[in-house]
Amino acid sequence: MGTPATRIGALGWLAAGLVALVSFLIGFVWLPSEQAGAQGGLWNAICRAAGIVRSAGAAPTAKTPAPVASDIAWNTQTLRNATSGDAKRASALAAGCAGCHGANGISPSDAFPNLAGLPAEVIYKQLDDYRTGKRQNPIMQAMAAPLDDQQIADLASHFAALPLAQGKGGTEKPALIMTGSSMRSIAPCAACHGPLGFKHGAPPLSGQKSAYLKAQLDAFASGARRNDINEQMREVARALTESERDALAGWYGGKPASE
Amino acid sequence: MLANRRLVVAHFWLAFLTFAGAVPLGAWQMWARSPLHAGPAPADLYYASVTAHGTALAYVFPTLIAMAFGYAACVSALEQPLRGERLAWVGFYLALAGALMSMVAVAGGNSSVLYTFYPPLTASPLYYLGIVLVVVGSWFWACLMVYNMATWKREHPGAPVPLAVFGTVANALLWVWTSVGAAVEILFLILPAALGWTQTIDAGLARTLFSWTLHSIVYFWLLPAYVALYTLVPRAAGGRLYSDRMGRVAFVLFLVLAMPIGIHHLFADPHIGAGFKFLHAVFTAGVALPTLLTVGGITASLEIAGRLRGGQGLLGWVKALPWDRPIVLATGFSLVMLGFGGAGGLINMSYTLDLTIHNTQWITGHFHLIFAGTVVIMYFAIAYELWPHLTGRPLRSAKLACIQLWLWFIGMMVVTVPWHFVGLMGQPRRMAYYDYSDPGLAGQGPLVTASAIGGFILLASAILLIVILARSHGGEKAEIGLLRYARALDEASPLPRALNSLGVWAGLMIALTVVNYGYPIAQGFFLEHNKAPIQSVLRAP
Repeated sequence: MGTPATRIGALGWLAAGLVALVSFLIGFVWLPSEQAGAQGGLWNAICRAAGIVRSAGAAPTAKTPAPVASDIAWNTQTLRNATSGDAKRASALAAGCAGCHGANGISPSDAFPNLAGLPAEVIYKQLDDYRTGKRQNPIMQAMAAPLDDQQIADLASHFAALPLAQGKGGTEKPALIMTGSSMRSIAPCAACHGPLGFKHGAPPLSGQKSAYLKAQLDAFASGARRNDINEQMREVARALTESERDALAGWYGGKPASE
Repeated sequence: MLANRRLVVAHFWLAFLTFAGAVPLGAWQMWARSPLHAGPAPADLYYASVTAHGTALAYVFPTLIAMAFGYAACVSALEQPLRGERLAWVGFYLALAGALMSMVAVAGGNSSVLYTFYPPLTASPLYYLGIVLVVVGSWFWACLMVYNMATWKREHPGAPVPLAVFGTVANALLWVWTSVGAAVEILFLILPAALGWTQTIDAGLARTLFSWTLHSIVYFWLLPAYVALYTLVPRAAGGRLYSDRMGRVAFVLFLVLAMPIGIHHLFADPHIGAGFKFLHAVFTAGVALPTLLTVGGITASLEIAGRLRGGQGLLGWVKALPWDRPIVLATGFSLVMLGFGGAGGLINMSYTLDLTIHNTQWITGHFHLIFAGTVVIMYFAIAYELWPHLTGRPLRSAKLACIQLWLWFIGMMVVTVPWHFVGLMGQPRRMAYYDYSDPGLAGQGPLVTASAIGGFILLASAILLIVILARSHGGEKAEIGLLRYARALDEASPLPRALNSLGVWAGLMIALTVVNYGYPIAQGFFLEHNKAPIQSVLRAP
């Protein structure tokens, strides 16, 4: 504390320390203790202000869990499971799918979707949802019921490895695909289904069967299908008009896959 | 002529060419999402453009200007050639290579993550590596600044370090510590994800580390402008600096307070506790102190000049100032924009008020007004002031330069004032498209149109700047005197040692960072719930 130099330096440190201390007392002790519903004493107040959530007071009473849309959650483990399949091991199992979905995953009928080239996580989630009854369809639920996790992953990688269906050529492209409609809270289709962005579990739609797509949009709109994890497809489909659902399904079904 | 002028000129030209490349992108973006553009612009192009604009103008341009002006101030104020010029060139070429790498990655459409990186988005590794190289290049500069000041002090015991060098070295120290946050984020979180080594990223921790850099980088941009205000402007205006010591106190306060405040960018982030948000809000308020000191000190210096030039009465000195000198005119504009921008900044730093404007166009308006306005207009003035000393040729012409500065000021006000308003009306930032035909948004259309027009005024000003610098560079040689700095009223009085060295203040900067950032960063290592699957923005093959 001898020279003026050290005095000024020490003064700076002292002032900064005081500001920090007073701010700490206000921000970590006083304000959180005064908050409505604050309980559990000083230590809890400090922890809450630091961002640590501790259980304070009595545990909340048990309630019946809310129904969930799907048992799949897109975390690291799910992604690892979904992509851990072996396509070769699935060839025998896949023979059972060929009747409706085609030998190469390209369906001969408009009522059944093409599966070829869909990402493994898409097939994995739908098979799991059928197996757990989160997505309902008498044929598919019966087909999926006996499968175990590994078999689902194997089938997923089998279909993912097949070449994607080619569309027949485009018609008029609805503006909803690339821009959505902000005032109706409709996100662009392309934001999740590509090419603007890709979300886990959202399938590419190019070259899919129009009739199948229309049926799914209708099912989402009516609530008959509800295995979209955050209800986003039900939200969107409900906001779309009948003719918009037709136009979207028609365009994706007729669209070449390369676009 | 200045020593090491080839080095300084190389930095200036690279900076202004980067600037000239990035400003048209900004103008295009403003037009593309205004009602003037028929229908939506391609979103992928828009985000690539925003990424290029932000990366070039936030990382490359100001860093090179700080380096250029730092070298110039160092050799002219210490009156000796730069020690370690070879290393300075290494730094320059690293920055050049880094800038090119990043721009290649962005132009390829594989890195549209915006300059704030947005984890869990991941871009091409080339993009991040390019930015790392720019930063590493600037570390060469920072080390050379510290080294040159230290050796000079050893050779001149007891002599006061010239204010221009003191401010520059404070900025160099600030920058090295500032860039550590983003460097850690890139090297330990983002690059492993971008290279495919990890499948998840702790987005919360990444954002916390980025906030470490994100606010103090603003002061790294700002300090060269403040160095010019303290050391070049009073002399150009024909007066004296009001107080040299006040300048040193301001630089020291910036060094200490710029760092431990970045969490005010994370007020809406759930992974940071409210206590730390409050702590950072308090320290953010502290930065108003050196800002107000500077505004007061510079205004007083200008008043001295105005009165020496015969100005009378309460405000007569304002009229008497030489407004036909580019750096004086730029100072006036800079202080006006600082007034508006600073007032807006008080809203942003308030924990509760921030919620009304968080992530709206208000924020875009704010940082354009402060950085692209207050700071960049002083960069222009610095270049105009130094150009004759660097090229040996007079500026062609001061009048044209004043027109350029007027255009920049008008353009920036026309761009940013409507942005603040549409922000208050709720317009989100970072959107490629707004549906103005909708009655809910229609009221914002005219304001956005006005601001797009401002964008083109700025483009005209940027073109004029390049024309003036190039024409002057190709002009006829003339006798140019030495580059001199303003003398201060209090230069004869003895200087306390703590205002002639920066070590004790750099120590306080680190201590406050540990107090204010220690726990929020540490929690990222033991709370696991922030991990998110990465989302690559690479184009599908």
